[in-house]
Amino acid sequence: MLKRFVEFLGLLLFKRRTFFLGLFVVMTVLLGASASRLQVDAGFEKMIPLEHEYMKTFMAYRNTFGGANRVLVALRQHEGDIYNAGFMQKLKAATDEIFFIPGVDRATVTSLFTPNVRFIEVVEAGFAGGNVIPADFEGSAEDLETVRQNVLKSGRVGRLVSNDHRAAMISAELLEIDPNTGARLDYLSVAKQLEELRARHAGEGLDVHIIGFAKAVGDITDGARGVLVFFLVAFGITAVLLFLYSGSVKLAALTLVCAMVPVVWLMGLLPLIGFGIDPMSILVPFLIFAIGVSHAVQMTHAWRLEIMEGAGPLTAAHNAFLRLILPGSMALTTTVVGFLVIMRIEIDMVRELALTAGLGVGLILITNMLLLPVLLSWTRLDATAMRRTMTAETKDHWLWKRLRTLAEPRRATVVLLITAVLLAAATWKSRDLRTGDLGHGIPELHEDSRYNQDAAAIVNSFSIGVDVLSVIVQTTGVDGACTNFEIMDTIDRFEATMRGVHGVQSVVGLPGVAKTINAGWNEGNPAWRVLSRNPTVLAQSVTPVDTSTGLLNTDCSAMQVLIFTRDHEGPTIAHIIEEVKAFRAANRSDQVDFLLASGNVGVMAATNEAVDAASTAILVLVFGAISLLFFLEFRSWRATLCIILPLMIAAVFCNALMALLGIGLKVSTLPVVAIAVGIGVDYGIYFYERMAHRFERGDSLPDAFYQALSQRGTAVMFTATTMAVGVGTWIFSALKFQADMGLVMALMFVINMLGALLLLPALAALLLGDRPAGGPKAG
Amino acid sequence: MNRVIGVLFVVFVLAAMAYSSSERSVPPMPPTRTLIGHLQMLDVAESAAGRLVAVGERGGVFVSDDRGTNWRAAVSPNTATLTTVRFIDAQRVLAVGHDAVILRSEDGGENWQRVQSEPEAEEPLLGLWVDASGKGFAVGAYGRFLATADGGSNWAARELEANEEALHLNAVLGLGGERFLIAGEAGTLLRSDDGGETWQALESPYAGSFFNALALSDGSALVFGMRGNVFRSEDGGDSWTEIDTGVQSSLFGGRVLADGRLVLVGQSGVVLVSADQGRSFARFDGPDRLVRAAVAEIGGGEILLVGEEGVERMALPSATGEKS
Repeated sequence: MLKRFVEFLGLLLFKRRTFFLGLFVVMTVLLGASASRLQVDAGFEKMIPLEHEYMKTFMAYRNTFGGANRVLVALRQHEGDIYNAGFMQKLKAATDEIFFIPGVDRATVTSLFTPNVRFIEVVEAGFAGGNVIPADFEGSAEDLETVRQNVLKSGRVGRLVSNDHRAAMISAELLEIDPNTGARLDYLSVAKQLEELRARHAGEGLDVHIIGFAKAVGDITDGARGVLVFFLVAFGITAVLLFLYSGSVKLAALTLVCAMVPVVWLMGLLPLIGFGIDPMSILVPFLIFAIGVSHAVQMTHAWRLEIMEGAGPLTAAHNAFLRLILPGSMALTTTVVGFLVIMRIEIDMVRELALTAGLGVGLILITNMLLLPVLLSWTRLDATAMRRTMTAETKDHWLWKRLRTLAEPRRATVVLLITAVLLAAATWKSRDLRTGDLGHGIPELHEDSRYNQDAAAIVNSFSIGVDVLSVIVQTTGVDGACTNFEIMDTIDRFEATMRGVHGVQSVVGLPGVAKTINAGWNEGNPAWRVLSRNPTVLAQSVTPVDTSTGLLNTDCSAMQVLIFTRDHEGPTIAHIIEEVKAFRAANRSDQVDFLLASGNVGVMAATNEAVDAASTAILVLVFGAISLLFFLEFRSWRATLCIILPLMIAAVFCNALMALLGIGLKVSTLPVVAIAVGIGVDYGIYFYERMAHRFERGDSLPDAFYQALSQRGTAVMFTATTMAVGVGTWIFSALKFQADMGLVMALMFVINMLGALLLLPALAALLLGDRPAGGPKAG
Repeated sequence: MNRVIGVLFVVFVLAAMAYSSSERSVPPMPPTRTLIGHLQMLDVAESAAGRLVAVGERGGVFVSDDRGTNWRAAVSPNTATLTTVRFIDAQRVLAVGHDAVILRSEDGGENWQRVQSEPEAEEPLLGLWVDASGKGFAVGAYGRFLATADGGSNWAARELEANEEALHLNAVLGLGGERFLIAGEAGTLLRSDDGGETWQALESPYAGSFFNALALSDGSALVFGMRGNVFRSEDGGDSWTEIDTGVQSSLFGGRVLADGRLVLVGQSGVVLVSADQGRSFARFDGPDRLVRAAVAEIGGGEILLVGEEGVERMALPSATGEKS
């Protein structure tokens, strides 16, 4: 049935080849035009596993307590403290400018100049309070001294003013969805405006440090623009190598065209289905290109073999089409399925990437299996190219002869033994793979990048870090939980306990603030920094705390405890979360519960947990899906194992590599294993299909393998090397993420190639034995 | 045979894969411990043997035997904030605090027993004085006054009629012999000349609160409190001289050093040093602007500041050194 369909399709395709070519050209032109509308699309929420328990709390309380999407701008003076007219003027200007940046939640803008920052002073008569910067501030020496005193009284040192009084902070929350218009926030525009703000105020002895998700995305996108250059470099390298390999400009050009067309189509389709390209998925277009080249090389190679045997271009194209349509479309389908199953992971970003990659690979099916043969049917090779082909084929023979013996049981055993040793080492190393970020700052950027330097500068001079885990204390059935001593005391104990947890920098919560205020009511005497058991007295301490502090909601049924962490490394976060859970288990009651989590670290904790769960799920799904497909195709578990095992080994190596390079497992690196497997599938299938074909015809296994090698080995080796060199250039990228990925991907290309060339025949030798083990249904 | 090798290899790869992607445990982290720096400390006392005991927030009690470098948590049944700690002798230590709690240790501050606790009274104890004979007084909010004669095992509460308005009493100390002084809220100054049996209100030089008092080596007394106010008396409290400290920050703790100098500490990291028995002060602020509740001498030209974020050592300029 399938065979007949393939034959029919072949006849139709080549009979109407002009029509099909025209169709493809029109599609490319139209989608190319659409591709120009492709937007860079970054989002905070799509990085979040919204189904995760923590994120339910996060979403439930984000309107009350603010989200985790903060921007921090610190103005730092080189010499002297901040109490001078020039600095104050700049701080005020910068505060105003941030206030007016679209997307900024204006109520959350906080700096010395905003009215939500107040101080409380103890005087003989009791209490006095006011704005830190008085309304009549004019910048006189007297005014500045007042501000200095008020800052000390406000208790904001370390938060709004650095501990050394040489820097001041402006913080603001961003709203991802505009509440009035419903429009999505343009992060790149925010990042651009922040950069302009920096340009306006930096200099003259002043540094401006800016951090926050929006800025990070901006910087990553800037770095990602460099991807185009690397893409061109890879393209150039591939072009040169293709020419050297095929000895023909025409063939090299055709291969490149057929590898580029799906990329263009994909970029044209994305805007049509309402997608953009995320800076974190810049890998995808290149991946599509790489897989495209891999299949195109197989096709041109098969076509050349036909030409060598004396066929004309059209016949050769037709034959190559018939030979490769089944293994080719099967390899591609498997890859698509592999990507689509990843969509079960409930993180939008991963789904987006999976869909984009799956769609792209699907497009290759059209361009490489249909467009390329059509183009080849018009191609005539000149004599030099022909000669080169011939010599290349004969030159390869010595290597194939050597490799041939790997399909003999004794050699095969040696190969498996060596593989087992390497695998054991890789498995051991892969245990060091950590979930979440490693190192300070954001790992997508190099350590010496502007952003990471800014982050370090802020962490070093302020006592609150950038990283905060917020725990929501939720009370039920308590009227006025803030004035209930038992509840407040429990939260106070929670604060004290969390301060003692490794990795915690400081803790801010309502009880702590209320205690300070109670001391204030008692003439500032620190001996009174306690919670009163008397509800009336306790109310006095709590009432001055405004809901804008984010420490309590209006009816006090929920209170927020902010845990500032020293870093946001995966293990640190996991440890703190564990300790929070332990406290929760020992102290929750019908009345009070400690809910995880909000704050950027809360989001990371949820993401890390989801990624952890997903990393195993992805492997099970990908391998499960492709195993099933292979089994349906080859009707043999042994055959399936021959292809799957090298891929599994590659996956373990991939994890070990990431651990070795200090790359943490996170949303952006989660699909790497799947991508690596996607690449490897092609090699395995092309090889195995040919080998099984000859094996069934009665060849001995080494002979069958030899035939497979000489027909498809060159193409596999060539594509793997070309792609490895191409992605290898990414090491020089401005994005650390891309540099790391370049290295990992390059090594994965090589490992997958070795798996197909060395391991697959050895496995076949020991698993298949002498008995034919089935072949493609249509074969 | 070949088949067996093949199958073994398959099993090995599957096992490796499963192990590689199985759940990873978090690398071991230091255990969760409340350290002295996590709490606000309110007072510190040193024994003749050089042991330091600091007390404070949430009942925290910490002990150091190396001049305040390393601190370990003592064992105590109490979680109410402690305000004052005093050694009776090298072994016996007393501490008082909120919930009217009184704690007692008989092993130099390592283990503590609760002598009394009255959480519902809402009357914290704020000041404590005790001598080597075991005689002592504790004072607190709303005029609370307690006396002991047996080293803190038994306490008798008394109303002090001299404190008509039941104002907070912040500190009590002996001025030598049978003379004792209590300093408190709204300028309250009480004196006893008969070993604490009867108390008389003194005419106060100040309407604001006194947070603490010191008996100086020359026999004079110093009281200090809100907004940098310091008063000195050379006649046992009959008359007081205002000392200009030049600071507006409240002063909470003080100590007479071995070399006769005295140190006062308070809000906003203020550290005042006097080399002339409190007639004048020079300001040597600490490394940060944290609230300091008490101070101790730890030798080696250093003092120990006690307050927000626990304790901090600070080098003092030498007695002959520069003064600003």
